[in-house]
Amino acid sequence: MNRVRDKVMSAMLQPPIDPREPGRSADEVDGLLHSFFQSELPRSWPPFRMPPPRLRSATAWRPRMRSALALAASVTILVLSLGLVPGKLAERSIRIPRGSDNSATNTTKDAPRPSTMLPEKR
Amino acid sequence: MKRREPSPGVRHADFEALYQRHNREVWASAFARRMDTHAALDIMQEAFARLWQQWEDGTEILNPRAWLLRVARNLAEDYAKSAFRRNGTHPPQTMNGVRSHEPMPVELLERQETFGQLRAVLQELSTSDREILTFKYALEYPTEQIAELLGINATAVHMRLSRARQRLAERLKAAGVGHNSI
Repeated sequence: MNRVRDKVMSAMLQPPIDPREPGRSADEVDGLLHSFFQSELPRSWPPFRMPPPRLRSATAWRPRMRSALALAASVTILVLSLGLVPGKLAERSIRIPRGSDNSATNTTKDAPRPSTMLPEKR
Repeated sequence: MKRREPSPGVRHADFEALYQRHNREVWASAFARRMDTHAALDIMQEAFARLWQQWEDGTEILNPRAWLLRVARNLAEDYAKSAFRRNGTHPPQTMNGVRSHEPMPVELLERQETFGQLRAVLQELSTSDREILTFKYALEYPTEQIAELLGINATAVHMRLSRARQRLAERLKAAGVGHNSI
């Protein structure tokens, strides 16, 4: 009944363990540790549980496809915007009233400032 | 890591052999950190499952043993954090499983109590102390094998074991595990 207790008590009473001269105290601590760790060791080792196979076809391609589509859409929008913006600017410059014979392409440098285009107040 | 040519039949047999060869070490590494047999088994399974997935993806792990031990270590540390968040701290007696049918009930209770105190003291030791003690006393590995596993020489294993035992004895004494308490 008191075997475990006796083991611990004996271990405590003994001088510190000297690895060069393994004495009784080392044996006692050894015994205690051995019985503890052996009691913790699984009685039977379970077989390896194979994880369920990944559904590659259903899941793996979707994120890649989505990101590819998003990238394609972004590039398309960018290209379209680049194509549209100069056109819009040209349109705008045509609408702005200019001096006598300025052409649509000759807008920025030679065009009079907006303030000069305003009709004079009477 | 390199890409590995798929060979499903051989790979499954290889993996089973690998599991048989290293499952105890992986369990011991997790146990040294968690001090819980069942949690260590779960961690062991998870580590092998992750390795299997690596194999399935065609990734060759050059040193599966080291890879498994590293994954088990990380999982055990993560498990500790998440378990702490979920459950808070438990007294050491919580983890005392009753498995043996041999001892009489009173003896069993006493054994449980002693092991509970020993567990608490072991938890105060460093992980490296617990790890070397687990390899020595749970797996009963010889010094050379422990040295190989930990990447140190045999003399260092002897020294570390001796110091770990000494620290344990001192802490047991400080914790009052002696004449009056047991």
